[in-house]
Amino acid sequence: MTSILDTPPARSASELGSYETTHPPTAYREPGRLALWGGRVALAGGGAGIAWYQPGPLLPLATLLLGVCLAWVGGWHGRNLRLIALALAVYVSAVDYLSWRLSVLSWSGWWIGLPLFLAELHAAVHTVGLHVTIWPRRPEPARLDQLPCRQPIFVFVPTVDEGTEIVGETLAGILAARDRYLAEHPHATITVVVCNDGGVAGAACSEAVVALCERLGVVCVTRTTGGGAKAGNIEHARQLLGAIGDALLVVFDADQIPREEFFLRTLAPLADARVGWVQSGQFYGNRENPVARWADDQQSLFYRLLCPGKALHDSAFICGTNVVLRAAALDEIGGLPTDSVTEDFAASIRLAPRWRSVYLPEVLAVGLGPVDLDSYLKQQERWARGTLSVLRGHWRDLLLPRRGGLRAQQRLQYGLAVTHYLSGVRDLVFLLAPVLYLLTGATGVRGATLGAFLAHFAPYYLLATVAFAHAAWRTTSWRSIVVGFGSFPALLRAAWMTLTGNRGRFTITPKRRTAGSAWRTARWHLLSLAACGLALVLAVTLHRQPAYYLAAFWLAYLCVLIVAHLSLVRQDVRAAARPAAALPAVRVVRGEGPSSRGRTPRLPSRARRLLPGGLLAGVLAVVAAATLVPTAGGSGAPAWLPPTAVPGHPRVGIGLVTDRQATTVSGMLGVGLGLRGRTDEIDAQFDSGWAGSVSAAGGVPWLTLVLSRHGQPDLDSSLTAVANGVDDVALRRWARGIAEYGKPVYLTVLPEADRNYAASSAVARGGIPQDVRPAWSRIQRIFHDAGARNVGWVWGPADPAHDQPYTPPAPAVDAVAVTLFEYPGTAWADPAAALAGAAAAHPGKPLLIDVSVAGPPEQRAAWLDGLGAAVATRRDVAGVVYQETGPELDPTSQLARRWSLSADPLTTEAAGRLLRTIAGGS
Amino acid sequence: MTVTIPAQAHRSGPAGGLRSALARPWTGPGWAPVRTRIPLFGLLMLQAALSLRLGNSAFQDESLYLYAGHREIAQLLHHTPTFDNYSAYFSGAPFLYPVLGALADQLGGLAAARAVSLLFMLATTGLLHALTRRLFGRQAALLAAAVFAVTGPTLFLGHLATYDAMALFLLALASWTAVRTASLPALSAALVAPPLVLAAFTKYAALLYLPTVIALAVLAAVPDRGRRHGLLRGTIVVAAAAGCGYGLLGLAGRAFVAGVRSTTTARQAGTDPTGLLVRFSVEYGGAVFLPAIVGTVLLARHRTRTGAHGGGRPGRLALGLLLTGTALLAPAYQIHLHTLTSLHKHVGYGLFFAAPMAGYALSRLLGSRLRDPRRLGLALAACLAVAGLGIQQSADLFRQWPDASGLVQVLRAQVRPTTGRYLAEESEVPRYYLRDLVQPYQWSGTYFFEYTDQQGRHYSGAPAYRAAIADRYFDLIVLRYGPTAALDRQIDGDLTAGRGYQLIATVPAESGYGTGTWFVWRAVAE
Repeated sequence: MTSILDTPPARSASELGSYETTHPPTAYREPGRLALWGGRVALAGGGAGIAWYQPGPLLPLATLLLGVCLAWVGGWHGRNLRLIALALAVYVSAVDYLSWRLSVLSWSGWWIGLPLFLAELHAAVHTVGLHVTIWPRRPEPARLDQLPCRQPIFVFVPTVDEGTEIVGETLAGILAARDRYLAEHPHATITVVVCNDGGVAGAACSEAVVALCERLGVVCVTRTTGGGAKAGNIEHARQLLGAIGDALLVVFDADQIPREEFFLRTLAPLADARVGWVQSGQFYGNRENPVARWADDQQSLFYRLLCPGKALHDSAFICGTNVVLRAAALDEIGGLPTDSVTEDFAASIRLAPRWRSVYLPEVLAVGLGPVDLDSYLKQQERWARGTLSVLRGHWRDLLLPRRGGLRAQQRLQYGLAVTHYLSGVRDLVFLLAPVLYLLTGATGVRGATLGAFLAHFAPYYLLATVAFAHAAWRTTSWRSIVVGFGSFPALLRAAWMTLTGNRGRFTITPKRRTAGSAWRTARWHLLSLAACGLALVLAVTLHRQPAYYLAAFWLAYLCVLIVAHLSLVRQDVRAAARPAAALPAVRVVRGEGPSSRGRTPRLPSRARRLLPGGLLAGVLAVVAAATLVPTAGGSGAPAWLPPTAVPGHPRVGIGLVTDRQATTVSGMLGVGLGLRGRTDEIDAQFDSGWAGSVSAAGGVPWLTLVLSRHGQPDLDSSLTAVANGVDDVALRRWARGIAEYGKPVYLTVLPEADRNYAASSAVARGGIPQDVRPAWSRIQRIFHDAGARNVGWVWGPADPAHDQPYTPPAPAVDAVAVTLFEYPGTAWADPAAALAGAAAAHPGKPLLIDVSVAGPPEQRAAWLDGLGAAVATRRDVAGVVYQETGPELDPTSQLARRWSLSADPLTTEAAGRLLRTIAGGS
Repeated sequence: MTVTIPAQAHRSGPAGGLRSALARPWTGPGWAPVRTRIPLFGLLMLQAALSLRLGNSAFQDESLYLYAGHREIAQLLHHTPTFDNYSAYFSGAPFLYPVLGALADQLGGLAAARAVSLLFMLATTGLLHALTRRLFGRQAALLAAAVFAVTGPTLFLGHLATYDAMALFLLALASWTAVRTASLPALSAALVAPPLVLAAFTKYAALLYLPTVIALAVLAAVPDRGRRHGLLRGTIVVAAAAGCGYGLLGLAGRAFVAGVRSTTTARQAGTDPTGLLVRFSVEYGGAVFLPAIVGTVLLARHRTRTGAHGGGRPGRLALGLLLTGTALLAPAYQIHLHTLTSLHKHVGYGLFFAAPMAGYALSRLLGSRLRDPRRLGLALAACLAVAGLGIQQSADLFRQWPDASGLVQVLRAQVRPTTGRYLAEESEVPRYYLRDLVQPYQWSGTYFFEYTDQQGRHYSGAPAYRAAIADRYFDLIVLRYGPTAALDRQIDGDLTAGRGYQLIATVPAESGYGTGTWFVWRAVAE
């Protein structure tokens, strides 16, 4: 995973340009102070510049691609080149996102906004920190100052209650490794010491451990007075046996079995007198256990990815086991610290300023992972308490300048380590913020738009995800993320205990399953899932805004994480129900054996090979279906015939009324309504509910579509605008709506175009009569293209008897509307003459009569009777609609009331007579 | 399931080779050229992304050339008159780029026409890389491509549907051919001529760079083949170019020689101050020009590889001066003319020639030092600063004209095919967008107009406009008080007084020069 910086190879002649140098490539040199500080200033200055300008997605993209170029020019290739480019892009995108987030932080909602920002800051710092850690670096060349085999070597195995079976295996491994080392270094002395705290802890196995040591010929130091936990136990033995000065100390936990080459590999780096300790990784050999397997994936991220990087920053940890320490180094700091539950980490920070550290990434010892969730969470809590207590106790070492103190890169690395376990608090904030927002509307963000959020967050999130996936490729799995998130209750408890100064007690990770059910550990997860689920339902059902969708997206992500963790709980419960399995004879660690060890693949290999293609085909099928279904619906044959034919009896109807009013009027007049009129503006939607209710009552809707907006005509209402396609989008929407409705609809467009008051006028606002035809044709073409064959096209001029200059082509008109609105105090038209005139001007076209009258009751009744008589004499009337509120725009006004059929009894009676006569045909 | 393939099988036999190829498909020898160019592909992606992010409605020149292209195609296919003599005032041959741009425009609209320019500019970057690699090696090539790809003029030209991208590409092709054929027989230098002459015809301003390309053909051959061979190559290029030019002139006719004179060689002098021209030249090209100067110095002081002729110090100095000095040609000529027009585009031509020297300088200065993360970070910060400048400049350049989509929307709602008459300031833009509705003869602009009233009186210039407006000759009038503000103020008396016309829309016209408004008047029926 790490790479060595060296002199780039000389290029071949074919790679050289005709004018290029033949000088050998410059050998790598350590950067001087100028480059060092120049780099830091560039990093900080660049960050400040990005924070100031907040450039959005372009800069991360430019960084990524220019980073590739420059790193390539610098001689980097392959994985290292990708690591460098991605790290730079992640840094730039993180600064960009965080600075933008700060700029939209709502200080009025600081109580939620500030914690959320700090949580995001923590996540971003650790994301960038990961890439700083694994940035390819050059290791310090080692020196040969002394021979470790000439120094006394003590191997300490602290134990409390692990039992002889586990300790015995460990001792057997140590002895085998010692034999191997002594075979190559016969003059070396290696003393194996079991530091037995079983007596102090009252463990039943204590005497048996003593007996085991006697049998194997190793030293056993049994304490009679406790204190200092594991560190105290080792220190006691160390002082007792005089493992100080030039001695080398090897520490193994009781369950860590070294491999034969352990001493050969780990003692060699101590030839360099500057090296204070050599750490090797911890790997779990019981991956057949589900909890151990998931925990091992999390461990792998640390031991296989981070630790090698930290070692190159001279910031490796002492991890408490599988480690070789120089006694002289420990002597300098007064021995292993006994005031911390993670004594190893505390010792690392004290030793790091003066001693170099080495990390060996290969598998040199194999141990046991936590066997159940309870043990895993206890282990996480203990580590969290330990590192957070180090933060509390050593923050001065990390933050304040001190001569001979930690170097900048060490401060950064240890700083990242001691703040890592604040992730529990962070995850709680990530959980609470969207839930609170969706339940209460409380937000810590102001002035952020969806576009801005995506411009800043999407590059950061995508780059961070891709960079992590790339870095962790074949090192760990998604399980490490899930199990890390799932441990948030334990980490919260640890943070709380650290905050309140409660030190708790040192607990060894149990090596045997505990009695309680795993579901007991999942109560916080279940509660969180319920809260997230509730908020998610609210987001989907109630809130319909982008901000809520974003919160819902995040909640869905959290739900996935929690459910994934609960699947581990379920696996653990199942494992507990099975009889306890014996430990495997040979412990196999991640990557050394079949990956499916302990599990059977759910799908046969052939099916697994076909899975990606199948998924892709499935997605394509869904997309194709989503595309084709509406099209198929629109292009199919109409279920109903278009309403162009003249019915046996003219339909009668009411316009400008609600469903309820229509029912009332229908009952009052004693006639069924076969036609319902309605006028809509272009920006409205086709009301399929209304049309459906008309159709359900046996009627046909008659829709008049006006191209005005908010009652006013604008430039887009003009006939030229329609003809030139300006209104195509809105018209298409109407066409699709009517096509989907599928049943007959009368449609009037461009109503009264022959008048100057019409929205789409052919005599005003630049319109001329010749404009009607192209506009009408364009509308029809749009409806035709949308498959709206169920439309009966009704041409509705103000004066259908004299509209020849304006009228559309005759084949393009299915019916002609005759509008007879008679105002009080004016001369009223003769219905018979009006109908005859319209019929003469539009021979062969059915007539749809649109009427409304206001005036004295006697005059209204007489006129309606006259209309009835006129209709009765004709065979070309397809329907009569009475507009209940006349031409009034406000149907609730007093003026509208005077047009109503129910305004006076005479009119009501005459209207009933008229409509019944027309509908009955007599 | 694990399949173990014996090691021997990897080394011998077709089956082993096949398995090996299948196991690691990117490691075969055939992929080596692709692998080594992955950083270049990344750079081209960046250039494409930065160019594509620019957004605005068509620029006046784009509208003019694309519209002309459509008319030329219509004339070619249907013998429809163009109603204009484009060759008289175009700064490039109307039958080359305008036709190509219009074909793309027919396929995918303005975006497709601009995509063609982007392809030309990406190809130019690729050719720059190839050219520099042959002269100074891979590192210098990549760095040269990097500094060229992210400069403001490059990004701008990559999203502008005008002659420039195509002309620059052809110049790049000619330059690359000049270098590529340096080690081939002398006659191969004749291949330089076709793209070179075509570049000059595509945009007449490319004539300025003909001597540079010819000199490059000479100097590229000097290190390996000597000066005499270089001079021979130069002669061949000149002869071939003269032949090609003569042939093309014969084919196209001499009508547009007048266009060359009026737009390029005898262009009317402006009044822009020298200081301003120098300032803009430095802003657009300084980030490449300054390292190019350093590159020239380093190249002159550089020792050649063992056994190679290397052109000697004079040759190297000549190459450095040639490439770096070419960047000064366009600014110098425009300073001579005192005109800012198209300076940002012409600087981009020069940057192509200076970029190899800049890449060489950066390669020498950085080189293997980039293995140190701090130096890498420092170099990246510098590159990002240049890229940031380029991003900003290209965005500013693309905001130099107002977005006309609102105006076009208003006009689309009003125009009437065939019969309407429309007067518009910068009429090229609405004319281009509304070409599906309005014929060319329906448009009048504010640069030139003649009118004969009903009494037979003939007018031209401002009186013509005033008389036509008084007669309600135009159905629609669009004024912005922009490029022809003086004339607009002379003719808008009746309009602002509401005599015969009604103001139907005011459309915001914001640009880099500030806020403005399009006023749209419609004739009122008598």
